[in-house]
Amino acid sequence: MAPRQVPPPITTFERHDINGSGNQQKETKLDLGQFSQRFLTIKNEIGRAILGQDELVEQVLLAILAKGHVLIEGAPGLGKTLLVRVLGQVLGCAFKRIQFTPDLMPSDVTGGNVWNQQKNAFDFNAGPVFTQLLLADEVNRAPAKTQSALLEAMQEMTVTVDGTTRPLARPFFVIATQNPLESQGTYPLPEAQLDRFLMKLHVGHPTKDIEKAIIAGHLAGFDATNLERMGLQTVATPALLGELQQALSAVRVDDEILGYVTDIVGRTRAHRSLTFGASPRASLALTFVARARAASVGRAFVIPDDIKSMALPILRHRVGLHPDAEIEGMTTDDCIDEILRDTRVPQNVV
Amino acid sequence: MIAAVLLVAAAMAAKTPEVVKVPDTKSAETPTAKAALSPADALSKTLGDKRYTFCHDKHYPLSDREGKWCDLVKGQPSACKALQKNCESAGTGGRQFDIRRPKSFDLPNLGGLFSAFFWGVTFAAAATVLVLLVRALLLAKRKRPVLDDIPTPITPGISPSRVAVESDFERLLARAQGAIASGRFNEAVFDLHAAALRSLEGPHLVSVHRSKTNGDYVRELRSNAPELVPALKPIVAATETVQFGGYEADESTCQTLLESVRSLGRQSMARITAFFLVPLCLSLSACGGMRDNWDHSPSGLEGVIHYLHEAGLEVKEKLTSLEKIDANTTQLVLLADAQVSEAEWAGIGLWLQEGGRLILAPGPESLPTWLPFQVTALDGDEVQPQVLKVGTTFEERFGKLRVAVPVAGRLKSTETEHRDPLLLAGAEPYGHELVTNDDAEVVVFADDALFRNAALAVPDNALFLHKLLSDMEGGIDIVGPLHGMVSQSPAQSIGRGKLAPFVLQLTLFLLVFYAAKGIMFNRPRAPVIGHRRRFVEHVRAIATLYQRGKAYDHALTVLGAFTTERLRDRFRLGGQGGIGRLAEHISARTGDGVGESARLLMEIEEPIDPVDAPISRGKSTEARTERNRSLEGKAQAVTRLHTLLTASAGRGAETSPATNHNVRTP
Repeated sequence: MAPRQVPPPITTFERHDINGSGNQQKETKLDLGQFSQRFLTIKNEIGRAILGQDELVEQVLLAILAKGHVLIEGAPGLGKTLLVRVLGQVLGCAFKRIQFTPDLMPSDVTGGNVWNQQKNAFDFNAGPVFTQLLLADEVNRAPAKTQSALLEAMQEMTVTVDGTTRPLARPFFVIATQNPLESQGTYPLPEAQLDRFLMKLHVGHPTKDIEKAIIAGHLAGFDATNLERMGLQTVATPALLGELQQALSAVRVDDEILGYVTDIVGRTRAHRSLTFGASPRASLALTFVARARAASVGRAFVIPDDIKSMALPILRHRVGLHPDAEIEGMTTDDCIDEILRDTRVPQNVV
Repeated sequence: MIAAVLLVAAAMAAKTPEVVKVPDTKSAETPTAKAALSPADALSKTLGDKRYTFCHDKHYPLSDREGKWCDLVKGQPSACKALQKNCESAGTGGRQFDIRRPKSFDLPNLGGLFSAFFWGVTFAAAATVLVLLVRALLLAKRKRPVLDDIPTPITPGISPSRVAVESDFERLLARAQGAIASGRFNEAVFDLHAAALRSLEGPHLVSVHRSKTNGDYVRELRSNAPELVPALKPIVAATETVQFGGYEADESTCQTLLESVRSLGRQSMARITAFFLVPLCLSLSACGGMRDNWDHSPSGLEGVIHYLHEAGLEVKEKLTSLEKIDANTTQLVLLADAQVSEAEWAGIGLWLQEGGRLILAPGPESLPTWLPFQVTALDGDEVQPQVLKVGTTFEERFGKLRVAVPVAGRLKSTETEHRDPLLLAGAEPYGHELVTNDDAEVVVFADDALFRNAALAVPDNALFLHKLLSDMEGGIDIVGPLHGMVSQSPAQSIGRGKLAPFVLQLTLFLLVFYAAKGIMFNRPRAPVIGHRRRFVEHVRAIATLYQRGKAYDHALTVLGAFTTERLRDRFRLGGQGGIGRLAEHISARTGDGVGESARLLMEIEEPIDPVDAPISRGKSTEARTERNRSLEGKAQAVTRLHTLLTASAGRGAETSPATNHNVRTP
């Protein structure tokens, strides 16, 4: 690769019609400065409704930009559903929600063919999966059969019913939630499906001050069911999201960074407390999210800090904890932390 | 280690034979070899010495007791002008603080065994320190590898400077400058980055580690020294741009970074300096203002000794025992707080019989019965500055002097015979001079004010002292509160420092710790598990392993065998009858046919799939479905028998693992 001179030139990208008015695309330029500005605008707008969850909001946005799906784990009442509703509103995406229950059938997710007597033919009734932003609430309450109905949608962006494959709208994101407190009557997600999620995020309880601010907001008239009332702006469009996703391809990933990624992921396969390590899909996910993180701050290249800071949410659900370690009270987060502490960062200092 | 250090310190503080404190004059000449000055000149010279700061600094902070001298020096001729100005400006109020006087301690008698033990430990600790020092010196002398000694790498394309990791700030900076000069700008950026981090590592603002990213360093610095973050960020950004962005650095970038790193280095150095200087300054200063040491303060003794020394008298402060007084000592001055033992009083008595003179000013709190005086100390407001009058009997000897002191004691004679006092404070006697019935020549004062440095601020006080002490030849020993403070042994030092309880506790703790830990003391060892794992935890762990290994059939077989055996025990069949007898008993209790019961028992014993043939490998969908169906049947059979077992035990139905939602059949 030919070396370039500091300071770097502004990276430019092809820009499409953000109004989504048709197939005709205007050739416009979008640099990383604009990328980071848009990212910040979206993040700030979401932050108006979601208090004290800046890191969660940022990671969800990075996952969306990296074309990934997110599994959010947290106790009830921490604003998981509100986050997805706000995302739908701010990103201008169609939003649907499925409450997963033990009796939920696959056709309740995908939809199905219904006999139309007038036409004397089957009509397809599209299920809630035909949307752009899908909230799969308490996804582990439905049996594996129903959970797997999401697999095709998440991976292939298509839905096949009775042999007919239908494409989903773009962009398409699944944000699934699960409650870690209850295990009775739940169906843990199989490893194959967990791997489909780009990130697994934990939602923590807010601090005392944030909780006071939340209460004050509700006392002042905040209504989670009526987001328009609080003046939440739609600051993006599906087309703009696609454009931002496309812009990531210009972010440079150095060979040393790739070495760092493979070091980390490789160590998960040899860790004594892990029964199985992360797959190459994890390496890809880590690299793509790191690119999104770099672009979100207007940087045209990935640095080790991007990788290290995103390793936990990307790897924690892709590794299996050894039963002995589980009994000893360890978690996959502990193992990944240990791996990060042992892995050498590419640098010239030590 | 702490104990060892304390013991070494104590040993160093232990007494060397016959240590005496001599006046700290700048000249090395002996008094006899030096021409004596007149009292006035000696006084001027003494108070002209800059060490007596209270006579040179008009802002010198005075204690309450020292402030009592102000009324006596104001408006009077004095060689201590600064003290007069200090008194005029601040009076007795303002910047004054109490001063703690040196105190003496009672010695605990630890006995010969403890003394031997402490001496042993002291020598061992000293030897250890010596060995460590020698080893450290030897190691330091060994030739350390330097960059110049590292051979040029054979690998083409790799610069020699990149082979070894340099951690010294100055060398990194020099290397960066060399790289800039030779046009290797990228390498210069890397070296400057390393130099910046190393400069921050010195004052412990960041800790460099192979697993840390630049973001980690910036966050660490933000928590320790946020003001330095703006200086580090551009260095980090430039380094990452070059290293990961694929850009080439140029000279101007390098020069800018060089300045930033130098600035960062200076700030770090300032922090290191402050780190060491602040505690030093705090230790040297006292709250409320700076004061010189006790000996040169108005309450000290050094000035009086210095003055008498300059005036031709052989004076020294005696710190050692009074049981044996030097042969050339003719006068002995005992100040307040001087600790004198009975043996020492006996020694003083013998010395007095040989013609010595004892001056009590006012001496120890309790005087021997052969001294016909009683002295009562006054405190606080009772201490009043007064001009003393020389007794009529002594006027011819001393002349008309204006002796003035803050009177801090009341002197009372126990003699029936009236005696003309040496000095009078109003109508009360302040000083007496007499010869006792045992022919002992004794002078006594109501307090020790005349022997304090501040007394020299009143010129006639100095003259009176000189006249009093110069009428006898020989040496003068002054015994103050420091007398008896010199230790004869480390154990004594520890006792004087009130460290005996601490050292004993530490020793006891070490012994207990050693006894508890045995030979593993001070060595890393695995933590001892306080309790055995509960049975249910074992079962859960095994169940988890089975679940992970998808060994559902094996788990069901084991549980079925367990259930069958327990049923045989419950029905008291022992090992007789085989499946048929057991099936009859089950049939009698469940109402099922004997054949059905026998089928259940056979089903739970029959393996469904070989252990070494995982279901996920090389199996058709039909075979997998068939296997799952068999597993479900087996699980139901085990559940039914297990329910019968728990019901027959009269404990009600227990939840079978096979019915638990967490244990799913495939």
